[in-house]
Amino acid sequence: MSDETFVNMNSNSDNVLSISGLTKIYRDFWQRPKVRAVSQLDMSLQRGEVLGLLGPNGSGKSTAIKMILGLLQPTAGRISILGTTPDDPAVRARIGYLPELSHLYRYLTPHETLELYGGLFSLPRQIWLARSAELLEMVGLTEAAHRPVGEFSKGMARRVGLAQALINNPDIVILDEPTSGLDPLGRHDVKEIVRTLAAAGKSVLLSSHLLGEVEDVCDRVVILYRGQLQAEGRLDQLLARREQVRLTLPEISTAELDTVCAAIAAKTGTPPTVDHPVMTLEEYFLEIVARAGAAESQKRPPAPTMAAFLKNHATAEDTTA
Amino acid sequence: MRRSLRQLLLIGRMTALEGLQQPICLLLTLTCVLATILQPFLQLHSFGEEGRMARDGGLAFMLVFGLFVAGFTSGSTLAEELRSGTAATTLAKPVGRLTFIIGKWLGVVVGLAVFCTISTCATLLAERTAEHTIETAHFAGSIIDRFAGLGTIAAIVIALALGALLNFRRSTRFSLATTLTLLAGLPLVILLCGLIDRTGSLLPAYSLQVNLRLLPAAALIFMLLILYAAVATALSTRLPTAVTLLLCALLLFIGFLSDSWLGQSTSVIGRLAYSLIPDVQHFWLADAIARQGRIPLRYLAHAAVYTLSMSSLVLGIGYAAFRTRDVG
Repeated sequence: MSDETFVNMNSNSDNVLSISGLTKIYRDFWQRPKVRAVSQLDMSLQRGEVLGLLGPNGSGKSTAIKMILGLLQPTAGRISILGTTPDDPAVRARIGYLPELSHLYRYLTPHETLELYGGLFSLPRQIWLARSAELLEMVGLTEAAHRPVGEFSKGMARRVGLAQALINNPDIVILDEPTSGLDPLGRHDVKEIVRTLAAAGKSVLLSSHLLGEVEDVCDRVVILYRGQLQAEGRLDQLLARREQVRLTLPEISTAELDTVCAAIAAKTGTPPTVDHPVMTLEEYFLEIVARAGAAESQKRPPAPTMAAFLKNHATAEDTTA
Repeated sequence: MRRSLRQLLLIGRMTALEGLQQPICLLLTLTCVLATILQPFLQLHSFGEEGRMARDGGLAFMLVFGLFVAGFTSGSTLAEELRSGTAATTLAKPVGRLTFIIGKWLGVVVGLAVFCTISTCATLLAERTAEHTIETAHFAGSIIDRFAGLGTIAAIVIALALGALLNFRRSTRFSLATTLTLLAGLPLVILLCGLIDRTGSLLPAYSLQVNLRLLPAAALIFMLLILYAAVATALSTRLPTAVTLLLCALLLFIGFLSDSWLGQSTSVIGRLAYSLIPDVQHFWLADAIARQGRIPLRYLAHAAVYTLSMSSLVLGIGYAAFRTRDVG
């Protein structure tokens, strides 16, 4: 991409992230090129958009994310994030990052972990305390708030990781394999959180190799393979099969169905395929769990939702300002 | 600036907390205290120098075990975090890399301060425990102060028991609880020792019967350990824990010999090496407090300035190596 194009990308006021010609080559001890992890990557992320970064293992997704965060130095190319470069620590105050594995301090409790990360953002104590309590409740860890993270299962540690990524109420949220290690309920919660973040005008960059997950929440996807951009676009454009049409009907009798099929076959020359729509296993599982837990949840006050969390803190920050 | 200072203190606090909770740090501290307090009971052929041997031994244990505490804490809180990715989570926040490194060093220094306080108390008690020849109205001869020695061992046992109890009842972290109990317990034993004499009889008036001239010598060792902590922190930005420990031990070894090897050197390289390698002999002043000697405050101030200057230089080199390092 030429410099002119890059300037144009930057000048788009909706772009919160613009990447141009991004390349990362890992070198060995003797500085000889060893692996080209990312090669000539161009992409952008718009305000309020959920962008899926897809690719098989080793395709360069995490490397690209770490360069966006300034953790890895690019070999070539340029990154503009919120109008500046990733090297500027101030820009990272507006970013929330959930790493691929929940790398947390083993001996700290979730409460202490959020205290640490909230402090690094210089949040006033009252705001930090309120956010910390709400986030822990939202990720279902209130009762485990004072146990060391080292004792947690992978899924629980992931929830702490998610809470720390949102402690600063960020403008850009970068989630690297966010549902890794989570059960179906946890995965569902994460997807709800992503949707709500986008609805609140946050930009989300979501890296995953679980295609169903990306399909459920992303507006646009970028597909990488061996570090190179293979495809990019809106999901509805990429996935639509223009050469076929699906017709969904309410329940009808066999005779009526035969009449409809015969009419279609007479018109197109090909008899249509008839089947019943099926739920995904995840939808079925969530329905069963929701039914089983309905009675119990009636007895307990509901946990704060992401929407409530964002609303509360928007109000708190307005008051502080 | 204010934000950086706050981040510095937070990273330092969390590093210290993380370090003090490492079982290896508790193990090193307990071994150091036990080795220090048991030596007066095991001395043979000491030619009337029992107190001095206990004191020198205690300070030597403080130096060697302190070096391991510095190496392990730096390794586990920096090298290991860089390897596992925990550091990446922190550096993805608005934290500068210089702030991160200095915060880590501060945390290690706080851990060392706790270790050195415990070790100094143990050395004071060991010197008091060591056999002395006394002559009172009721006793004349050589005697070991069993009250001080057994009191120290009792403090260790109580700290372990309390740590276990707090862990069982309130899920308090065992290593941290035990270390902090020991930190409070050993000074208490020193204070209690002021009530009785070496024979175990109550003193008519309270008298703190420990050798406080030892404190400046212990402070000098603490300063040397601060310098080694800076070296370990700088090395941990690039090297694994085992290599960091090995290099720190090598630096200690060369530091002991640098005066005789390089002190008289007239070559430029020799003079430069002598200037850069911390001369351990300047920090090892156990001999100076023998026979009622004292270490002047002015000397301590000079040593403190040297320690801070060298630590800044070493951390600066560490930062230069870390500034563009890939973290992931």
